[in-house]
Amino acid sequence: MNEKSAISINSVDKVFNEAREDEVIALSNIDLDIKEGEFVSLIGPSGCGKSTLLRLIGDLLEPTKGSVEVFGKSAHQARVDQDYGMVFQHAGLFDWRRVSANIELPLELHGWSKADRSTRSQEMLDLVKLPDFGSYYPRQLSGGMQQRVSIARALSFKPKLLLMDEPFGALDEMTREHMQIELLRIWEETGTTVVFVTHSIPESAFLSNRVVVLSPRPGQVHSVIDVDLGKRSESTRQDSNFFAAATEIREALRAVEEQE
Amino acid sequence: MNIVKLKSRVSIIWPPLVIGIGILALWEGAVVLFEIQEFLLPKPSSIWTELQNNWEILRHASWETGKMALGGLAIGIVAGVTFAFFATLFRFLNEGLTPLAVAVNATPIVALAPIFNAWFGVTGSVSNQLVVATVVFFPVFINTAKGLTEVHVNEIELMRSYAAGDWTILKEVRIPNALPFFANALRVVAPLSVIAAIVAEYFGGPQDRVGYVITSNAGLARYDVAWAAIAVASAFGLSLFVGALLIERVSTPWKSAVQLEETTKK
Amino acid sequence: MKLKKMMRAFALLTAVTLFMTSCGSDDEASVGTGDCDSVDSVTLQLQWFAQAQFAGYYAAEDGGIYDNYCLDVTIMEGGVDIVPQQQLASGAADFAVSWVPKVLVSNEQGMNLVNVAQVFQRSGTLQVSWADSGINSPADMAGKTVGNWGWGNEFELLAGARQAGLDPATDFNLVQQGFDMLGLLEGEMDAVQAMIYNEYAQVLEAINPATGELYTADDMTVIDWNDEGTAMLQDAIWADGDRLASDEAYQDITTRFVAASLEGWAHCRDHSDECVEHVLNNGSALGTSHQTWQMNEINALIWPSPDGVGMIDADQWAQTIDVVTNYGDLEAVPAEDAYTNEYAEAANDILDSKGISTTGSDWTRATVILNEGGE
Repeated sequence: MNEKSAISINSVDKVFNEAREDEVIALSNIDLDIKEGEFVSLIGPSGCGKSTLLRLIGDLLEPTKGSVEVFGKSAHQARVDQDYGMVFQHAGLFDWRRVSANIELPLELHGWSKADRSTRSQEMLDLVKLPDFGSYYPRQLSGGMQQRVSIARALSFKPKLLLMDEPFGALDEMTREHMQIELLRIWEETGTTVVFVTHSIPESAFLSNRVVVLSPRPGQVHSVIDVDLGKRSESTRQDSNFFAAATEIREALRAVEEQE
Repeated sequence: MNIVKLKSRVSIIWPPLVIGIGILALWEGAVVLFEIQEFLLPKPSSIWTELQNNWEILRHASWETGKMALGGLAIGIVAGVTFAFFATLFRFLNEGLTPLAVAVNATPIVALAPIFNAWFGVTGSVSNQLVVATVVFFPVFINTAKGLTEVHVNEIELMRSYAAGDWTILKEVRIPNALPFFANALRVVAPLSVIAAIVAEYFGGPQDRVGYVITSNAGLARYDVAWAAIAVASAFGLSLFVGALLIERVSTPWKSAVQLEETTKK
Repeated sequence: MKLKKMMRAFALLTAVTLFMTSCGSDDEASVGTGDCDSVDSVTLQLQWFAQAQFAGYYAAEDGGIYDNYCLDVTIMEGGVDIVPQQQLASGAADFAVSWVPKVLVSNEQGMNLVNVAQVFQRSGTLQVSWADSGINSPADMAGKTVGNWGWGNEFELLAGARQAGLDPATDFNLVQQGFDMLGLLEGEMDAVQAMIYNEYAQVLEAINPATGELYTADDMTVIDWNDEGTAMLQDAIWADGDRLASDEAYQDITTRFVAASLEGWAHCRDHSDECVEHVLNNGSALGTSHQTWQMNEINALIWPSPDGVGMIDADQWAQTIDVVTNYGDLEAVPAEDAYTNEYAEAANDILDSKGISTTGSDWTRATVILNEGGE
């Protein structure tokens, strides 16, 4: 982890339906810096704007006020430059493309040659441990496998940043824990910066270097909790440091709820 | 894989085949046993005989009617798909077109056919093809529009994260997403086009057509010939349905791959 | 109020008349005199909607003739999808009015229907073209678009074309026309089928846009199948052959029904205006001048009946069979018992005894002025 800034969010407000009766202030006065190579989780009760914040970073939404910089340029430029990959809870694989073709889609859109594409998609399948599934259709895969393909697709063009919106939210608990280990492995192998939106306290504690706790209506940064569990493995889940981190996050969330 | 495929295909074909033959046998037996007059219900064997006797007339008639059905099918599909694209691109058009399309769909063909005949004449093919096209239009329009618009929001966001524009999203997401919807519509309208063509022929037009062969022979109590014509029409409608299925298989291979897996799992 | 009173008076008058007639004669030849021990219910299936083509039956019904023959007749109108032969064969009707060739084809399918009275002695079917079309004979139809109604109404046309050396399947374009003259009026068809008593008049009731006046007979050329030798016998009364062979009551009813119907037709010959009224009262969709024209032309198809009304001329029967087997749709020559003159002969005797002319030899065609739209 170096000290270069990956994401810099300065005094950002996000208002939906501005100046209308159904106006909603989703985010208010957000300041957040994320370093390159960092794994940061965004957690908070529903309506706290964590998904909105993720979309501001990805330039899928524009801030009403303030600025978002990604790798020292505007979020828009970062999107155009394909600096990040994105993974949703809904795997978002296209039914009509085989697994390898799904992984190759972003490469295709950016004019990679066919040979380069298939080399890369095989590398990615190896990375997510699905080396033999390239010729399958997504619907023939289990939910966990689909999500792995989705991660492989997001990483296929080697972005420096991975934006994940509750990617494991629809998976069963065992698969979910397994995917967390896989994600950490990939994160370590690739050195990618990760911004991870989640509902789950243990998930955020287990995965992150830092956990950003957001309070709702309007969404604001309540607290930022540093977590240092060193190199994580299945046994980390029984580690007292892990419980301590989870407890700290839980207390912050309780405080947020009492605020309401 | 191939043996599994073959087995599943055989298991799909034999139940309707056995039931079909059983029904024909019961029918034949009932007519003979209860001495039902041929002018009330002809035997399948008499229908088969008349099918052979009138084969040239019926073959020619189904060719002529088939041209009406296929022509109308083509017009209806092109119109339905075009309107679906416009409705997708411009929301206000969608809001205006959908109720209009529903109204068109609610109009029975039996009401349209005489009106179209009066407008476009009965001697040409315009009137009948337009009747067919009107029937075909609605399911194609509604289904295709649905397929083009009902795309998961994450899929659009994903494409935008790749800096893809509207055109790329249309080409890579909306159109492939609409294909199964369109194929569904095609399966419905393909046999429907034959029905519409025949009903349109009840209201006049050239007499070398299936609709006329059915009505005129029924009018003379030659029901065996009328049934033979109905059988030919059914076969034609069925072949269009099978054609639509094949198009669906070829155009949406991911669907059949998943379906096959599901049937073999059982 | 006034109307009600009048109706009551009329009913009283009728009752008195009936009473007087029933007291009149009491002998064996009392058929048709209203001397009834019991009344038989009978249904008659027509082959088209109420119009003067069926005036004789409506006159017999509304004018009390069926009552005099101790019959309670229900007349069922026809329509596009009603096949009178089917109605009769299935027992839904006791008698039916239909064309001879249509019934012969149905008999070939296993029906057993018998012609008990050949009401129309001539064919009323024409093939009509515009005068400038150059179609003056069947041979001129080569390469033209030729309309017809189908459903067996086309047999004379097909026979006439084949007789002229044309193959209907290839030498001209056969098109099913609507039950109107639009195909001709709008120029879509070169020659259209028309009944002289109905559709032909519809052209004469239409405005010629070139003159602003009604079309005249001079604007059209007409192929008359009576002249071409492919005419077939048309409206006849048909009975169920199986019942006729075994059921004495049905034989008796048939005798009375045929006699009463033919008396109705004789009445319409002598009182055509009254019969037009009967038709209009029974819900005819077409207007007075049209039905007056139709009544006149229908009378011309019936009268004169040289052998007596309802009698089948053996030569004409043979011609119909000949045409329909050689040029038409019939595969085998039908059995001889597809017609009988027995009932028509009995009817003629009854009408003679009542002093009603059975040949109509002195009937003359009237001149009818048609108005726009047949009003």
